[in-house]
Amino acid sequence: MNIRESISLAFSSLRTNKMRSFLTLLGIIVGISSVIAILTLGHALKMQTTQSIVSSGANDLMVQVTERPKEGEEDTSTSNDPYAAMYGGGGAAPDEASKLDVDDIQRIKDAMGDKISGVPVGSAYGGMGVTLYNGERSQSASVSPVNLDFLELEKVNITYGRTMTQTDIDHRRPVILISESQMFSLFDSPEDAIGGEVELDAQGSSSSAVVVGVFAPNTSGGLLLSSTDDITYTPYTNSGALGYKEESWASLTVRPAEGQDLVQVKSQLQAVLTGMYRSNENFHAEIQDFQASTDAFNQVLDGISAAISAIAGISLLVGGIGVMNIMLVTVTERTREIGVRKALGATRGAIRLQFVIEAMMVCLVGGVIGVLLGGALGIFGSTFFSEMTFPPLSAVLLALGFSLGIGLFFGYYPANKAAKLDPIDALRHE
Amino acid sequence: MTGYEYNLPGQPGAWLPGQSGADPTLALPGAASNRLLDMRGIVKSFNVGAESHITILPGVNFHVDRGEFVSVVGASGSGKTTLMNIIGLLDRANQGSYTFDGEDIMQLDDDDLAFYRSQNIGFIFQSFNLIGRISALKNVEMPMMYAGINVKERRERAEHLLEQMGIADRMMHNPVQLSGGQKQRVAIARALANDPPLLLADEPTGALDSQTGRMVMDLFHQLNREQNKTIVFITHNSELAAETTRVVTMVDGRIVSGEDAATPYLGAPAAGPVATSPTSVLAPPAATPQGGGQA
Ligand SMILES: Nc1ncnc2c1ncn2[C@@H]1O[C@H](COP(=O)(O)OP(=O)(O)O)[C@@H](O)[C@H]1O
Ligand SMILES: [Mg+2]
Repeated sequence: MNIRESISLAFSSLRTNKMRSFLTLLGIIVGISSVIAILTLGHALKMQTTQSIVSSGANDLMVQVTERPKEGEEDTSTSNDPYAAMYGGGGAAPDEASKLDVDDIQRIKDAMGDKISGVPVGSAYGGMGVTLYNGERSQSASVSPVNLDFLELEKVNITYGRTMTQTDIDHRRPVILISESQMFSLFDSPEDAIGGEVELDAQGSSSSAVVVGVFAPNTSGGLLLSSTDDITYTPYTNSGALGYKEESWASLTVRPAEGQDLVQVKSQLQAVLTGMYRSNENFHAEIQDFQASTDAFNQVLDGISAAISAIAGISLLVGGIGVMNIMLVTVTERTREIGVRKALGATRGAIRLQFVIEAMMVCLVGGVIGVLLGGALGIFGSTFFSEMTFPPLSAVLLALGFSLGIGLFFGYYPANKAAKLDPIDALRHE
Repeated sequence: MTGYEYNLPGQPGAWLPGQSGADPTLALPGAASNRLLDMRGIVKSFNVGAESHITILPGVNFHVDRGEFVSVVGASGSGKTTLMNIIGLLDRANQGSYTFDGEDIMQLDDDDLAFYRSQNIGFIFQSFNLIGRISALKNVEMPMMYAGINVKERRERAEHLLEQMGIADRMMHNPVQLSGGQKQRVAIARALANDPPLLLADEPTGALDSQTGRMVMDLFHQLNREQNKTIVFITHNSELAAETTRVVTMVDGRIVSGEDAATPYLGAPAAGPVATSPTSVLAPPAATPQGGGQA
């Protein structure tokens, strides 16, 4: 008895009982398609967030200037938790001279070369809350003082006018980049906006600024990042206009270049920083990174996928039982055929193989339909929050393998029942 | 195979029964024969141990020689099909001995029997028993598939057999599209698939009109004459039975004529070695009007 024969027999009986086959397959189809849809969406979500974390700097190394531990004292500032350091875990705040300034940034960039893609200054989540005025029209905004690396690395997309230049920074020009929605509430048209002057009212202090560019809302931010609509960018050298002056920093972000080995970049950067602070008796600079929190995030995602897959597994179980049921019916219906086959020389093994393969083919057909359906669902669903994502190949293979497995598992009992039929009884069967 | 030994190597037809054998007179050293099958003291009961226990065959002796065309007649319920199932290795006797082509069949396990059956016996049923979902061609190929013959060879042979049966033009039809006579011809082609020495036909004309039955009967004569097929033909029709070389009559599970129950057939007097390979073309057997006129 060869397998090819069994497969073609399986399809011929699938064809003769179309409606029944379809109903049997329903459980498998639902189970497999939900597994595929979930895995596709999970994959899309994961790619999306990993991408946005990378672009928003989950791989960023945070350089933190902290107080040197006194001789013989336990060093508490080397904890790898960036938040502890941020919120004052590092002892006394550094004095102005010990902070990092533009020259330090340049020194780091020179030393690290193409190992890093930049040292962005600024916040993607906004900065100080202000109100922008253009005559009668006003708009609240969150001003983030930035450098050029920031604009480049955050991929701030200028749609009208121009972006910030080194000259703006060097000359402390009071220029701003506003978002498209800010532009439409303050001006009638892009032409009006570019070169237009706005009042920048920051709790008490007020200054004027010139709009040089308009940027498009950030679309690659994904689910996790808030919209950039209410943000306004200005050169960090213009932060005086906001009522405070910040041109040196107790902490800085260094973004490793793509494809670099994080550990290596980190140790090289640490060496550079150690060199820079060698002569400083009170403070030194250390590095924290966000790797741990990225891992935690991925774990949560994996957990959610696994939980939903388990639910889909239950529907597959139900589908499998349906297949077993229909195979038992089939064996009863075809008892006479089984008797004839035995009379013509079929061994138990041959009969068992035929029915197991038939069950596996039924499930495989269900699996293929499920993959197509779930794939379509997943592809369609993924377009709502990211680029169109196809089901991962591993998920498709897993699903098809799984449906074959269900056929094998739930088909074995009915097949064995068929194999054990006595040929005489089977031939007498009406 | 244990339980018997050859005393003439290379001539499986000569045998010495081992421990089994209800009839001790069977020890016949040197009786080289063209006997195809031999049953002694076959007892068949159903529902053994239960209240509904019933013995259908109380101890039957039956033999068939190579090249014979034996008919088995008897009233409905007399045990003809039960006997055929045991001859055809579909069922096992509760007691008795059965040798087929010199081999002690009682010793084989189910899977060995399945293979042995596919090589040695072709079944033809009253109700055709073709598989409805597959073509006539696939039906004929089936015994060869179970015998492990490759796809190309079995297809060629199935086509050839259907041609021989005169229904080459219906090859791709499913059995539901065929008439009774066509179905039975497909069934005969299927029975011939592995070129078995023995054809077992259980009322093959029972479901056919007399004209079609005549045609099937002519086919059997032809197969017996031209291909030396040994045929056991179960029938109700005494006219058809009368055409065969020997008529065995059953009444209530006993053979009342056509078979000498007391003395075993001794085989044809040694007329030189007989080809015994199950699939080889046999020399025409000597006509042996044995037992025919008795009782
Ligand atoms: N599996 C069985 N269980 C009980 N009785 C059976 C079984 N098979 C056959 N019989 C009985 O054996 C008798 C002979 O049946 P069968 O060999 O089919 O007769 P025939 O073929 O001569 O008409 C019948 O009375 C039938 O009822
Ligand atoms: Mg009968």
